[in-house]
Amino acid sequence: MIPTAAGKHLPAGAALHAKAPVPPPRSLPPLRPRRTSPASRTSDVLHMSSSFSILPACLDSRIWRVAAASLLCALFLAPRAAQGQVDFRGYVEEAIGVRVGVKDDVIYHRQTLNTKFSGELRDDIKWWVSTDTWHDSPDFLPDDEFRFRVREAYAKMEFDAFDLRVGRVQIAWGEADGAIISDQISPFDFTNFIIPPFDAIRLGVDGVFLDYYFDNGDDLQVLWISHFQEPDFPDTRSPWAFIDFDEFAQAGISLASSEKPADTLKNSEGGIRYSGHPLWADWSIGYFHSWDDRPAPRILAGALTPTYEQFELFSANIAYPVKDYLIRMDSAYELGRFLSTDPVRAFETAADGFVSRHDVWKTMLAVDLKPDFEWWHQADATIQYVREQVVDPRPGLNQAVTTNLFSVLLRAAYLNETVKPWVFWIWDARGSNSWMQLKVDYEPIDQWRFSLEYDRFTGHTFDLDTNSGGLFGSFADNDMMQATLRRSF
Amino acid sequence: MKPYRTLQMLLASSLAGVVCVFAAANSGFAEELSGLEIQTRADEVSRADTEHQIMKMILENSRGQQRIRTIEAWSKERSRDEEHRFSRFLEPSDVKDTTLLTYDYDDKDDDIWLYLPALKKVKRILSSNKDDYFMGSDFTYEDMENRDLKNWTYTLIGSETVDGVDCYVVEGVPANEKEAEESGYSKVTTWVGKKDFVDRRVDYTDKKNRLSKRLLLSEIRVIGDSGKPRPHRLLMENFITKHKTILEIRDIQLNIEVPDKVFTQRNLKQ
Repeated sequence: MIPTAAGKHLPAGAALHAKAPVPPPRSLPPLRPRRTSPASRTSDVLHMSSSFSILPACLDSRIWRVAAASLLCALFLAPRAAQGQVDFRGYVEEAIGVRVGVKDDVIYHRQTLNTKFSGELRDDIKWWVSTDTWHDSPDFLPDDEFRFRVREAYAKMEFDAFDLRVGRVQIAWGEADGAIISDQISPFDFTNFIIPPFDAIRLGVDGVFLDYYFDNGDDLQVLWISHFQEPDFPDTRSPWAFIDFDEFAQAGISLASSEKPADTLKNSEGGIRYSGHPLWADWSIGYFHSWDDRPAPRILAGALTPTYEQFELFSANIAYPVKDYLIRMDSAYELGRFLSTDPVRAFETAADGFVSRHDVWKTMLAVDLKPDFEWWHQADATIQYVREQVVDPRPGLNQAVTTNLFSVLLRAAYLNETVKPWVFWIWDARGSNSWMQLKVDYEPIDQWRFSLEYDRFTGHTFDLDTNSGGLFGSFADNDMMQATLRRSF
Repeated sequence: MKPYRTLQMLLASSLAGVVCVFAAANSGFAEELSGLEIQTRADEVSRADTEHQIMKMILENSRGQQRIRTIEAWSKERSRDEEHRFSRFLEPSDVKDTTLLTYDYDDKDDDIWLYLPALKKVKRILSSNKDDYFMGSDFTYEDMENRDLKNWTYTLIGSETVDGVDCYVVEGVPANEKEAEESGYSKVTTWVGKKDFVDRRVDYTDKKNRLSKRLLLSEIRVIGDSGKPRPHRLLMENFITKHKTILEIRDIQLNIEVPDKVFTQRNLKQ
């Protein structure tokens, strides 16, 4: 039988972005584009082998130009930072993760340098540059990798009633914590699944961003993104890859380069959001015309060919306190997404590469509370429910038509906030699909943080026959222990 | 649940949910001032229409290791029952530019918004529990609330000097079951300066009847033209954990012009 795009690791059932609360949306084959044409790659991540063998080929790419400009900026700014004209900070981090149980390899090993430069050209013009440079050497990579990324680089002009940002900016919409419901403006780096916190994996988008503030405190955000910025997906060899590529290879299906939209004005993205902040609640409604970060997993001429398609996102959010609780709702209607279908059960979709166009409705409901227990210091708890519904589904979809996820997040702080435990657990109502994360941060002195984390996945890959399993279950072999040491400066 | 407080109010209120009402004043002091009169005057001294200050918070463990947070804060009193506050962390670097906007009400829970630069968004958050500690310090949110005239009973128990200053010694206990349940203390004893009505020392007794914490306030100076005295150094010592918190106040300004736009969500993201 021909494997579908919902192969072993395709998180078809968990088409939600659940993370520490909820993971990336999945009905797509989050494939990493082949590197046969580096100059056309869309990722802004500079991906170099340790031997720098592809360096010359990449020099013409836009990414390299951005990187070079940023490096020059950094060199220019460093002396000024030393003189106090520029604020300079960041961190260095060493992290290692080892799979436990089924496997015992090093699944994650990274050294990171994060820098943030900021300053003012005038009282009303500010600028900000943030970069990441890191070195990866997990067991699944044959060679070490060095990477550089400009996370943000923008100028901000402040006027009486509005702010204007031009450049690379990270945008976060919505009220969901860790769940990607409305938060689909900035793409994410999924190379290590969503194990890192969202603030570490949210990427920047290039464009112009206007924030207009009304006298009553409401605000209107209008954004124009000059070109599509795809997420950073796991390497095909990574245990976090969402598709079992070997399975496709055994079926004689090759992996083709992703078809990324050209950088033309016509292909740019735009959005608008209105937010109100009366005392009783914070709310917003938004619209975003965009390219879907989740490429349609088309099978064309015997090759799995991820193709990016346009879609529209309508969002609505609210957060309101009720006595000792904070109620949060985040809802997104995704208009015109392309979902994978089973080649046998939906053969009529063959003409379009075994994908089918549908609307998807996602909703999150969360309750935040602060339990008052003597033994549970500085307690914080969040209970979250996320529902994803394919509207008017056709038979043979390679994902669950309805997915219901429940999550619980418990946090505390002990010893004057030097010890911070964290328990997160998310599970799928359909069964055989859950993720539990136990973590403790230890910060005995300023600027230093040591973290120890255990991640456990249970279940199996989504099974169309039994309508069970999902994204987390597909990573059942990836139970891991991770240790991280960070020094901020 | 009591309102969330920044450390700014810690000064503004001359400290602590320690309410010094001499409701049933000892007869030996009755001819001087009643508890309510003392409390009222202390409350008046502690209030200002607006405030701006920079605070250095030093957290020191039993081995002498220190962690330092610096906070810049603004506040504006909208009415006797409502105050707006804005706080921005200046250090350490990993929390720099984290900002907090609080609309503090006497008669209901506060409205609080937090901006975390790393997350790139403003979040509405819940008020903390009264007995939660503020940012790893030895101050609980209860310690930083305004004086509570309604829910505590105060008794003048004597007169002592603190650093050479003659003080009233006032003992406060929760006046009702609800307050007794919510508060982290069974008793709070306060030493209040007889001349300036500024707290000099506060002893906190926990629910297990242990003297759990002691606050010493010093370097009391009058601020500019306001005529209002303020402590510039506060030392909170936790006898249970052997941990200390030192607050050093810099650049304090009272009754200055603070625009309303300081207390907006737009300013949170600046």
